Amino acid sequence: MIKLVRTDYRLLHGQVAFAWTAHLGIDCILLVSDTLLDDPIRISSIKLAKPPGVKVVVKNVEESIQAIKSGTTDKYNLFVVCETVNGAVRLVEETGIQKLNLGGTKPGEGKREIGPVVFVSLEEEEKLKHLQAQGVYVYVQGLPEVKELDCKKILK
Amino acid sequence: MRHYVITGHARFSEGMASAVKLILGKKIPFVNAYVEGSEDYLEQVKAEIEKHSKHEDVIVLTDVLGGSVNNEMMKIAEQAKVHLVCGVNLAFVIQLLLADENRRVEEVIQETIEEAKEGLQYCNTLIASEELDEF
Repeated sequence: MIKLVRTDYRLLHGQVAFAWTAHLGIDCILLVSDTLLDDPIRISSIKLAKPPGVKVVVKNVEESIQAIKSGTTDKYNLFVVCETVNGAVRLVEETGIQKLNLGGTKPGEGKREIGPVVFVSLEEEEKLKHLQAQGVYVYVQGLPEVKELDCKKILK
Repeated sequence: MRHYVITGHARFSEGMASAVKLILGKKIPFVNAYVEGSEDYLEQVKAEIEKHSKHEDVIVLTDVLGGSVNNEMMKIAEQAKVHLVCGVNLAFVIQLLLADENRRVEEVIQETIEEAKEGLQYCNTLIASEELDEF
């Protein structure tokens, strides 16, 4: 069962590994990234940062979608962490998930901050609005302890 | 309910509390020591403990074994329901705050100490023998 889908460019870090994982009773984290597997340094830090008793699986966007659709992930309390907004949008659309948490996204030129540490480009904003139009609840929430911000009021 | 107070030299505890706030979103009380306004830090820690019912556990966390802050805290370590842990790192504090409150506090502290020790590593020599998982 998928407990949460989140975009977070830092993938596996303290807030993900400790706060959300404990809060949701997660036993498997899927890191969704098209670049991570080609980056040995990031991979070794992820191997070292695995929270005790939790599986950490890394897949690219396409393989992540296939894995979720195939049902192999059903037996887990799964936490899906997507590196990019685009990857997250594709995954949510293709798997029919109804909720997307925006955790942290990279700042950059032409991006605006729509919530604490969440930066989106115009193109990403369009895609997120499209998701909302399909009935997906898109919200900003960094930590379980802070209030959710519904993106309905935020996205232009 | 279980309660916590962290203290240590200079602003160690303030820094630790701010890191915990960032990662977990939880506030833990801290008492700085040997900085301006902290002359009575033992009293401040005691006051923090006294805010709670005598039936509730308070875990006092300090920076280093043998340091003067921990030495001072030893004076209150034997009070009923007070638990003193020294040499804490961020991994310890986080795991402690996430632990199940229904479990015995003594057991949680021991187990968390063992886990947190694993978090102190010389990364250069560490061979990432761990493999990534598959579903």
